[in-house]
Amino acid sequence: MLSQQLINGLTVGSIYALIAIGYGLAYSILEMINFAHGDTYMFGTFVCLTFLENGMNPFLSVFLAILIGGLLGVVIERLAYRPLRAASRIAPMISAVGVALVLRNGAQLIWGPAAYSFPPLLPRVVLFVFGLRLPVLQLYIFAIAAVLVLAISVLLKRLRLGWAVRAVSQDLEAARLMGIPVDRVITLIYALGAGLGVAGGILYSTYYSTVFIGMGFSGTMKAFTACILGGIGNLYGACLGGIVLGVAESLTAGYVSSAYRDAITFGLLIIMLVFRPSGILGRKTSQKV
Amino acid sequence: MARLLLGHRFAHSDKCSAQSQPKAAGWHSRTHGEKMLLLENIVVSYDGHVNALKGVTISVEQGEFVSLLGGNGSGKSTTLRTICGWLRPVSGTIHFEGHRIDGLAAEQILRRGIAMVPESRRLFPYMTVRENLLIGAYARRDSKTIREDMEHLLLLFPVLRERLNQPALTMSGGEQQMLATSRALMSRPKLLLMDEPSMGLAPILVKGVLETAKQINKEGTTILMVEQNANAALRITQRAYVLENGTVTICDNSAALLKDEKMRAVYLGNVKKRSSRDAEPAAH
Repeated sequence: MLSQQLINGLTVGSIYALIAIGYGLAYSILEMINFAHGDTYMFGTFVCLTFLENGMNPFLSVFLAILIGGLLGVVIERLAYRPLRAASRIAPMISAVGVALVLRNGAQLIWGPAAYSFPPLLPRVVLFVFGLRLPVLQLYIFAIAAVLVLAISVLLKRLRLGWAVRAVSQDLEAARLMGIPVDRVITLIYALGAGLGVAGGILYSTYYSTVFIGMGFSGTMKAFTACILGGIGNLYGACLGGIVLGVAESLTAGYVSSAYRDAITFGLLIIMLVFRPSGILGRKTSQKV
Repeated sequence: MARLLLGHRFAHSDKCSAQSQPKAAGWHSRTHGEKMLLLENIVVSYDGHVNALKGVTISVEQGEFVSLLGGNGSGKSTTLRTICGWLRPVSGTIHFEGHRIDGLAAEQILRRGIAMVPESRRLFPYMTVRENLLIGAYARRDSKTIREDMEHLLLLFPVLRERLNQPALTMSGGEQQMLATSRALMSRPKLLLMDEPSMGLAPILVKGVLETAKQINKEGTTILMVEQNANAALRITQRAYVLENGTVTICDNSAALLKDEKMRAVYLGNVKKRSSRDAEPAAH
């Protein structure tokens, strides 16, 4: 029972981690809470569903949906966030809430308010290893999420572009002095974040076999909580936060009641914000000058 | 670093035009070819109402080491921030090697050959020393010479070699200043802007930091440096401008300024007879 809940938790957690990374990257750069993050990937997941229902090849559907999600991220950044970059920090956040509403209602106009069942993209076989029930689906989800997270972390560490992303996220103005094209890097980060979000959204929908309008908003809150839990502005922090959140939710659902799952999310959020706002792996807030 | 070995002529005799010819735009336009950097009547405003710079005219020749002095809020740092592209002037022009650069983005100005060591260093705190150095060369593509330049800088600052794999934020203020300077040099700038390199450092370190700047200049990099410590700055630079309230009020050879009565009274601190209280507060 416990091992089962832990496996469930790790699966959901790895999806949360994927969603939280893009969200955390955008936050660390402009200290902007992207309230439209969840709705962006909800939109992308619906796009994926539309492709699949029209008989498109599953791989191509997923690939195109991630690409379209990334493009959506770029367009949102250009239209709704960049013009407000010089404004106070609250302005782009309000703009993001606006974008979220537009996406949510846009999706409702296109696809209607109902929840749809999501086709099984991954095999649903169950393996038994040493008496442990191992659903292959969950192994796949965990592996895919892990590979994507690893790929991003290698990109940030090894590629020239990754260095530019890290430099911009640590000191945007100083990055300009290094000759880094900051605006292009920021666009790229939103594209990357939205694309990863769509990947996470598709995994989520595959896992729960459903896609619905409301998954966007709850995803934004999960990503936010994961980032706060792990430590904002830190890639590994966002991953760890996602895993911790997933495990905590599964344990609550398994041992208490699944009705309390979201209560645990927001409870953790409040506890962290009050007692350790810099997160588990958080950086010290003070800097040596 | 072959370019660093080239000799340069120093223009000690060139007096500042702001003093002799306050509105000498015509005179300057005839000399674009000679000046490496030329600011003409630069006006900068932070809020659109109050001007932080009220028509600053400054020139730097190739190979020179020039300092910008002045009290708090006189506009020294604003001048550097405008040259490097962080700020855009409301009016006036900036020419670098004969080309206009005012209005260009900071990332483009760096590619023209101007690097900045900003105030309070602005390192990337969670990147290692090595990463900070290499990102200084971001605009370059010649990976072999980048390694050579890094090696050269590690000889100049041996302490950085010991800390190559440490995050920049774990270093002391003096070490951070060395790293910030090295990071800027990694772009192989023709002109190095240094904003208050001695700020926040223990007095014992200040001398070392300024000596290093002198050494970098000797190796061929032109430097324009803002410094609070006027006394120390005048001892290592060739020329200096003094800004007051957003305008250039004094410009002369550093050696002459060290002996200048008004300079001594207002900026150099060792006052013998201070006649009036209306002078600008001394810069400490």
